[in-house]
Amino acid sequence: MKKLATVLAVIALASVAFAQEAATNSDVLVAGLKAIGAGLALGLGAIGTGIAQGRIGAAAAGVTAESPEKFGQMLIWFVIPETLVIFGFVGLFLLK
Amino acid sequence: MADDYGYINARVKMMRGSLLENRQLDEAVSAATYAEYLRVLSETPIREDLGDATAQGAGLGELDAALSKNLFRVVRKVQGLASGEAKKEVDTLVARWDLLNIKTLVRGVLTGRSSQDILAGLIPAGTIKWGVLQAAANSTDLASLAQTLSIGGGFLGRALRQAVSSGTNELLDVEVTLDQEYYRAALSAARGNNLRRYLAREVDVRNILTALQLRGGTVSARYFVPGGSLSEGDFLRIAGGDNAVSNSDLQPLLEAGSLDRAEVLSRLLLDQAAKNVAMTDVLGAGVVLDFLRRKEIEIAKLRLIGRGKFYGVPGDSIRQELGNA
Repeated sequence: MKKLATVLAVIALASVAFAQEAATNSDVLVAGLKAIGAGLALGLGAIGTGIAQGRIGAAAAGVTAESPEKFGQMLIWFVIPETLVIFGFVGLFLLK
Repeated sequence: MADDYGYINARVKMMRGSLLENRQLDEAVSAATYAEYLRVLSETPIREDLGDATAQGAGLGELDAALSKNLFRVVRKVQGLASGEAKKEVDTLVARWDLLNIKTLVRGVLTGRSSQDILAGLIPAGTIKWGVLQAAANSTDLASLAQTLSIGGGFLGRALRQAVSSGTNELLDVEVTLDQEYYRAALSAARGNNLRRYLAREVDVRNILTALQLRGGTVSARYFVPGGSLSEGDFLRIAGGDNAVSNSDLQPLLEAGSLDRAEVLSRLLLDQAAKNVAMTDVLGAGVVLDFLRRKEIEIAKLRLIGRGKFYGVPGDSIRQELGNA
């Protein structure tokens, strides 16, 4: 997890550096930062969803193996973390 | 670690839902005859293992075999769910039945009981194969028992062999040696603090019961099992007659008045500890520990009720025995 955060930070800083090199115009910089923010909003939301669904999915698979009739209920629990990605999308479009 | 148990605990929790409820046990106790008791059982998840127990002329032997089969199948299923590091922990929990079985074998051989009697007292769970236990039950002395269990008897079988080779032949000495080996292995396999705390509680209970047993006799620190919250000094002090202990949860055991009562209280204490660890250790081995304990108690209760019904013991007397079990 720490490694992932480090990589994201490096990418973000590198992008900022590139943006600064590419243009001195402040509007361009703001646009660049917005793009980074939008990417982070969606990307981090997706990572959070992945972590949550990994754990919920394991438990849901266990429950479904014992009681197949609970599949529908488990599916609802499984998709709840998708809201994180939806929020990420909302953030992305707000920043665009 | 959490990921190991997400799947296992979800399945085990669902399996816990198929354990008999108090209502069903009460219905079994209230059954007017043995046949009605079997009918009650046939309406529970136990039915798939009842087999010959419900046949015409079947008796307690068939019932015991059916209940043993059920316990064995459920324990094997739980073992099969785990893999990797989690499997080590689950296997250690299951090895508790190896400990009990080897103690039963040692006690049976030292008191000269027949192999049939010894086999009847064994629990068909654990990691040691039933064939090995059957061969061990035919042993005529402690040395041959240790020899048989040194192959196929797991780490406890090897510990027994080592103890017997070094001249240990008293029952309490052997039992304490096995306990020491089991709790050493269990505590080293336990990865979570909750499981360690539970095992430490078991060690404390074991030490207190041993200390109470030693009162009035020869007190020695060699009967002390390390790993709990009690020190060797506490153990010797309790064995010497002192009834004070720093842990208030353990105090009732010392004030029980008799060893039998202390054993009943210790079971209740460990049941509660197992329930607590299952609630606090939702992504660890606690859920499995609690389930295996509940399953064992369920089978023990069904055996007791079955015997009561077979011999026509009144329901109230069975309820009283269940309370003490």
